[in-house]
This record gives sequence, structure tokens and C-alpha cells, in this order.
Amino acid sequence: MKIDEVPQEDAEAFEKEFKVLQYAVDDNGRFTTVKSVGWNPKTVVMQNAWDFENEKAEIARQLVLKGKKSPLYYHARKNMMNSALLAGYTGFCRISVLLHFNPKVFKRLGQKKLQKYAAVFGFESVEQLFQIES
Amino acid sequence: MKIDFKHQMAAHCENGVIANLLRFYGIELSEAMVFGIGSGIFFTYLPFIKMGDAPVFAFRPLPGYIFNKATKSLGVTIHTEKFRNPARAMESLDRNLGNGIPTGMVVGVFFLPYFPPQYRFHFNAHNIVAFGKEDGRYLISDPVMEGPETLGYDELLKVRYAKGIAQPKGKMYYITNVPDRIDTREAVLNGMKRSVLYMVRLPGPVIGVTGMKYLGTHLKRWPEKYGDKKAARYLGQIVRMQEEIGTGGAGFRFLYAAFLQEAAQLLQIEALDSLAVKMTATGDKWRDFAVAAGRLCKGRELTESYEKTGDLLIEIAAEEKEIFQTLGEIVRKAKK
Repeated sequence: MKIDEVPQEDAEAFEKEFKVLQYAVDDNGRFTTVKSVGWNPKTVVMQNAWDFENEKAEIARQLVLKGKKSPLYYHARKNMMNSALLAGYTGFCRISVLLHFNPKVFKRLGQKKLQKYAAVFGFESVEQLFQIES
Repeated sequence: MKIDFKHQMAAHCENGVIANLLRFYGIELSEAMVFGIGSGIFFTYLPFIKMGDAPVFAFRPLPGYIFNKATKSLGVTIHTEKFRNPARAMESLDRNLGNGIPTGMVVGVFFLPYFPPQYRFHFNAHNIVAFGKEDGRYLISDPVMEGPETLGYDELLKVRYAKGIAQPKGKMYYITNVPDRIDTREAVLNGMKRSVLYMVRLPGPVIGVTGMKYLGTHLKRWPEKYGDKKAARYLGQIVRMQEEIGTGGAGFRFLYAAFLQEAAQLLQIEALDSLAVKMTATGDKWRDFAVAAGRLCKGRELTESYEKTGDLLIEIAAEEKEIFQTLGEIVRKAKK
């Protein structure tokens, strides 16, 4: 890859522009580093990966709206967490986390436990745990 | 307090951290050199292990490998520590900074506030260096960022104790001793020798060039085996491993070519220069592979097919096999 071949594409594909360092050959055939804002094939595959994650979150959202899962389930999926990972971050055991995915159990949870969940997702108040985008 | 630590951007976090730390102790080595000495070039395809709903593709050895090999080859002594108690991990870091020691840490990227959101997955082997504390915020040198960043106490604690696969558990490391004289020549040759081992000499179908060939043949069957959607996602996963931050382009191929070029000068072996040119050429082919994969991922162009893409990979594997075999011979001659 020559210096002028280093791709500078799709700078606005994501919310935050980010430059990565690429190695490319100069006119004398020596390697140097060039900053690149993005490359179309890379944008496509990254978008593809995010679509896959968003799809999972959307399925979770539908389940919550139908009342089959608690809002916690949606927030977990949105943060790409499964029960094991959420258990790791909260310190609860995995079975309790799975129970908390049940809407009836989740409704009766105490403030202390709710606060732990809120802290993991970076929410300021526990009320945010009960809200999902409709 | 602020340690006089020079932040320099790098393609890959692990190499970047090592190069930055070594520079602080007066050893000037480029990122490419560290990468080569640490034998960072690698390939593996593990179809039977699924991570994040896709098989494992890796263009690099396990996290920490480059670090260990590079420092060991150079004779630099490193102290590594993990902590069960998060508060103690932070205390220990503070003490280090107070003593003027820039300290490396392994962190997860998902909760790293300054990291661009599009790259934030649950990946727990990112490397950063803390080089000071001002107004209660830690000064952080993250090699993949353009400039230094800062992190608050709670933010740093959260990423140091990221959960999931390969938890960092507060891991931190710092250089304790640097030898007076460093035999770069020997380190470079040993690094190359190890890479030759991994790329062409290891038996079995999953590691090195045989792994690439294996993936090439497998890939052709993906659409009928997994369906178009899943096949496209898997293909995308390869390209992500190849091109996402950290590789310097083409799954470390350009970075390794840069290393070969530098090594040619250091060892005065011209054959390495021509190998670097060949390596760049295969790197360009990896880029072609990414373009083809990107089109297949979009799923609207029919000129590309899985058949052709697989063949391209097999072609690359054959070329790289030749490159590393030649490299093996060069190393053998030079070591005599």
C-alpha cells in the first residue's frame, strides 16, 4: 500500500470520527505511518456487526413490550451483556440475574439491588432501569 | 504529579505500550521492531470455538504474548501484578506513580469513556499506560489515541476490573530493570525464528499458513452450510479482526514488512528487503480480500463469490508460505 493509497473514506459513518495509524510505503519504498479516517469495506463490516447487536436488542425490546421479560433484559442486551457478564459486573449470582429478567421478580426488587444494576449501565437514577424506548 | 513520559501513537496497543515504556528508559525501538522481536505475526482459524457468535479468527497471538517475548528477548525485567482487591490495585498504582514509574495496565474497552463508541465491544485485553495524576484524574497514554487522555478514579477502576472473557483483574506491569547493553541483533533473529515456527513449521491445520488455506477451503462452503446472512457475518468478522484498530492495515502484514525493512538495515542482509516487498504485496492482497468480503457483506454485488474469495485466501497462504520459508533460511544462515 502506497501513501496515497491509504483510504480516507466514510469519515462520518459513526458518531465519533476516529483515526487509526496505517503503515504505507513512500516513494522510495520505505515504510512510514499515515493516519486514516476510515475505509469503506471496514465500515461495512463494522456496521454489519453493530446491526447484528442492534437486532438482538430489538428482539429483547419486543419481548419486554409484550411483558415476557423485564426491562433489565433489554438494558443488558443493549449493552451486549448476557446473564453471566451482568452477574460478573454486579456480583450477583447468575441464577439471580436470570430471575431478575422475569418481570414479576424484577418489579419486587429492592432499591439496593436496583442501584447496583443502575451503576453498571451508568444510569443516574434507578427509574431509568424501568424505562425503555418505545 | 506528572511523569515526563512521551506519548506516541501506534497502530497496535500492545506494541505501542512496550515501545513507549522502553523509550522512557532510554531504549529507542520502533513499534514495528517491537512487533517483530515479540513475534507478533500470526494466524489461526478455530472453527470449533465460537466467540461472540462467530468462529475464532486471529491475526495475532494471545494478548500478552508479544509483550512477554519482546521484553524477555531484550533482557528487560518486568514486574507484573494482579490484585484481588480493587482498592489495593489503585493504591498500588498511586504508589508507583508517586515513585515516578510509568505503569502499564490491561483494561477492558467497553466502559472506556474516551474510546470511540463504534469500537466498544467487550474486549478485555487493551493496554494503556498511566503516567501521572492531576486533580484526582489519572493521565493516560493510550497508544491508539492521538494524544494523552485522562480517567477518573472510578472510571479507571471499572475498566481495570472489566468482566467477561479474559478478565484483567487489575493487572498492571512496569519495568524494573534495563540491561546496560542490548543485543538487538540476537533479539531480532530470535523473533524471526519464532515467527517462522508459527507461520510454517507447526503441524496441524489451524495455525499459520495452513490455517489460512483451511479457512480458504472452508469459506467456500459457508453459504450452503450457514446460509447467506450468517456466512456474511463470519466473513465480516475476519475483516474486522484484520482491519479494526490495532493492525496497521492488512492484518499486521504491513507492520511486519516494516519490521523486515528495519531488520535488513540492522543486520545488513539485503534479502530481507526483497522479502519486505513481497510481504507488502501479500498485504495488498489481504486488502483485496477485505474489499471482496465487504461487497459480499453488503450482499448486493454478484461479481464476487465465496468461491473466488476462498481462492484468493489460498493464494495468499501459498505466497506467505514461501516468504516465511525464505525467512527461515535467512535466519539460519545469519545465526551461523
